[in-house]
Amino acid sequence: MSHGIYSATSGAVAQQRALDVTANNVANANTVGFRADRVAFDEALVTAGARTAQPPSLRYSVAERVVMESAQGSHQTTGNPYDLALGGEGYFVLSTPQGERYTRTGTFVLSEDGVLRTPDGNDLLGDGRPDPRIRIPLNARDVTIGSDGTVRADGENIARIRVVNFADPATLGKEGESRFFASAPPVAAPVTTTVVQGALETSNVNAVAGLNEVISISRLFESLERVIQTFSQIDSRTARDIGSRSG
Amino acid sequence: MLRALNTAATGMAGQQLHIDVVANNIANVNTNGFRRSRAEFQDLLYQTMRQPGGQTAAGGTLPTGLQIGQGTRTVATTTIFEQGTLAQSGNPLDLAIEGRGFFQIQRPDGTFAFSRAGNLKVDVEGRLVTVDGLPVEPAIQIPVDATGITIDPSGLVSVTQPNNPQPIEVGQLQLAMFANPAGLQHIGRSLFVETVASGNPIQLTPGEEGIGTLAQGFIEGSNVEVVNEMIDLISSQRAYEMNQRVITAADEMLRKAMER
Repeated sequence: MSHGIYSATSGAVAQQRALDVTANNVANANTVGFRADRVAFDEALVTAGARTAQPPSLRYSVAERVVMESAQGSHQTTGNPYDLALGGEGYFVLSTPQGERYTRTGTFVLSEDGVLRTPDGNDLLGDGRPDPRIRIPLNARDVTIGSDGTVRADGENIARIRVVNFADPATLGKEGESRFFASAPPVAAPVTTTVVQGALETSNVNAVAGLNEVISISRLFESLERVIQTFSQIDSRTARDIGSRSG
Repeated sequence: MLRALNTAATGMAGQQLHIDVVANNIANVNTNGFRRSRAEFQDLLYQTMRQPGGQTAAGGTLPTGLQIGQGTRTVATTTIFEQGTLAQSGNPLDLAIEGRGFFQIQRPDGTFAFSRAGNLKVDVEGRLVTVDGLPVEPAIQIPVDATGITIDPSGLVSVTQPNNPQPIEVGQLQLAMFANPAGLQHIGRSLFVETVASGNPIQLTPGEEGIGTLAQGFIEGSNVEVVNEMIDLISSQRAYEMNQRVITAADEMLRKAMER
């Protein structure tokens, strides 16, 4: 058997995974605050080559890492006072039953008692003590949120929205429902990060690039499939020829 | 492979719903007091194959994980209560609310509904009613021989009658306000009803505490911006096509894999 067939198969499997990731990007092209993922392909060398009698030069492709694209989405003005977008690096902090979670999706709504939260019911956190939730007075005429996250109701400061960042973005994972979890504690967001009221950050999925990726993935898969076929033909020919000679 | 197929299908379903919402907004571009809706999307649960920041066998931490998303879902349709445009109509019974309030309407079953559509009428019994004939609460009785109706910004209704130069007060309109208007439920006919999410209505006299004032002779149109809706429609259609493309590619790859 030719060993190259395994290399080609590992490539084809990696391309399948790449299509899964691209499919998720494209499906979320209109999801506010969504960050696209990219598969990082790695080369795995066969270190135990001698023992398995495989030539050590044989390499495998593995898709074992997914990297989040950190490019900012564009801001879309909505005019809704509780739509917030972040300009620059940073995340809003949410209180969920599982603990603190982070998001860039700024579609907030008021609860029946005036607390600012996500449409699926997780409270947005500010830096107030002891209750960090952001409670908008029911009779507030005019609620403004400044670029530093200060919430003012009729000109009076009532809270400040917490915006955090992570020293190492790789400690962030996606949880779904537009939330991120972190395996390391957050740090304060850079001062250049601003909160924009009445706007939403669109998904950073680049539609054209996404389509190109889909096409290139299917072409690559096709080529690898051709390679696999060729190897399989070589193998069957070898078996036939050797068989006919010995017989 | 099948994961990509399902993922793209969630994207198509989401875009379909997005177009449904946009279609309803556009259909109501000329509906008085209409409030546009917006579909909100979220990404679905991720399948974590390698935890980001996890420990490696060698004792280090993984710089990045391997998480594969499963698509998108619609989490909510939010009603946007931005002020609609005010158009002068000259009709004394057209009232526009400049602020956050709602008219309270009594439904036939005795419960209340709330509306921003202020194109009011007077019925055969002289009551102030909506175009559907539902009375405004608190009830306002307009005398049959009234020659002129004046409604001031704070909702005080007065009429003039023949042979009497002095206007007579016939009632005081009140408005309702909600802590979270986005939690109101649409029931059609330009009416909303309260829910647990919207909170209880707070009744106030126009002009108080941010509820807004009334403008007589003006009508509040829909808050739908046609241009924005068209952009949403186009981007949604393109996104739908892209998802379709992913399905085609996944299908093609599956076929190739099976042909062998």
